[in-house]
Amino acid sequence: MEYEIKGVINQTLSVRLARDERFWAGKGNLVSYDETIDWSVKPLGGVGKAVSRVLSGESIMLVHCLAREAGTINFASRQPGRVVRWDLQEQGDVTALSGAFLGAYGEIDIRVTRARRVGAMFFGGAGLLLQRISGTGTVFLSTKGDLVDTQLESGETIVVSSGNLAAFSSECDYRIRSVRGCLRKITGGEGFFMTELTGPGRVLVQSMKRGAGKQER
Amino acid sequence: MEYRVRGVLNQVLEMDLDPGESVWVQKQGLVSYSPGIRWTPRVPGRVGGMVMRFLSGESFFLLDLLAETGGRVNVASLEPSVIYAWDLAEGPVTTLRGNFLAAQGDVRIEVGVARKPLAAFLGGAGFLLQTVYGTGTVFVAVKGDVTEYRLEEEAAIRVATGNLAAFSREIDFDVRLTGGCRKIVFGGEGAVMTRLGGPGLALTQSAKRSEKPILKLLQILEAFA
Repeated sequence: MEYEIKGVINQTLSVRLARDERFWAGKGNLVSYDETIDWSVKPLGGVGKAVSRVLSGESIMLVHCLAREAGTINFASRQPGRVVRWDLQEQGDVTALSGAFLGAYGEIDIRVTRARRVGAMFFGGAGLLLQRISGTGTVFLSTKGDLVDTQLESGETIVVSSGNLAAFSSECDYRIRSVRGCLRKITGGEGFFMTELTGPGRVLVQSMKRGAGKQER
Repeated sequence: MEYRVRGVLNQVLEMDLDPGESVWVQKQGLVSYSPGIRWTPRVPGRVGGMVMRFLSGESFFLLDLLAETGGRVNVASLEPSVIYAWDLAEGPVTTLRGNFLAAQGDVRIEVGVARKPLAAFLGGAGFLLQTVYGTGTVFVAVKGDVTEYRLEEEAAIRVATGNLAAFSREIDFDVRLTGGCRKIVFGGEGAVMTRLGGPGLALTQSAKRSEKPILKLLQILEAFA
């Protein structure tokens, strides 16, 4: 597999597959492909995994692309944003928030884990849908808006506002913390929960909030 | 404080704050920060200004960030924007609705009646405008891309409704009719153009501000009040 990340406004991931190579992609990200590529919709890792995914509310199906002959596929997310490559072998497992998974190549396994605070799922914190991606392959993630790529030292902490977290190393220690004080919750416009991540690990923060519309009054 | 502006699409303002430093940030503007930073929603300005602030369509609360032990904070707008750092040495700056992102230094943020209220209202800015005075830096979130105009004395430009982001307080802000009936009806640029007369600095944005109908209504009510 060879790949190229193109563009600036809504970046496109262009993947060139050799004969018989496979690529997994999130649903709804396909832009264009050569006629030598066959794709089908199937669950990653068999029926048992699919059930666990559907129970967690995440789409169970992924797009599975197989190259009959060498060919190119283009993927893009639905929102203006950037594409980031995450090598599982070099950088370790990654936990992606809902919507951040664009595609993956090689041996991967996706497990859906629940956020550690149930309340957080209702009030737009980190959300319930955390996908833990492990294996030895390469993962491509998409962020909304520009990207702040932070490498945390051991013990270093960063607090991320609701909707701005895209993905982080699974080895990071994450905690969902409620915003203290009634006034701050209601008038701050930053939601009820913040996510606190402690290193070591890599954290991808996006500049546009997930699900955000226009500026509130 | 040291700052950097990063990105191309929805730029991020990264600020390194010294212990004890504080910054005003637009509500919903926080992206991420170090644990040594505390934020509190607060209404800027004096009590008398609060009513005007409420009516202006600006967010009522701003976030007052205080770096207790120092640290880094990332701030960004909600819509694709570039960030323009306005040094208050250029003079006080009036930012239009949604264009204020952050302010650092010894600043005073006030909402006041525009010098020509009717003109400001017809030009789509609303007749209550937020102005930042003092010393320090104001970060303006300009929707789309920015064009910077340094107007000399006697020089003037016309700006379409929704494309003005910020201007020096000293600028002469007025409106002109777009043209004849045919131009107004079929031109698609509205009935009036904003005219900015120098001297001063003005920033225009390439993406028009989206108007909320409810705010529009509120402005109309204000005009009759």
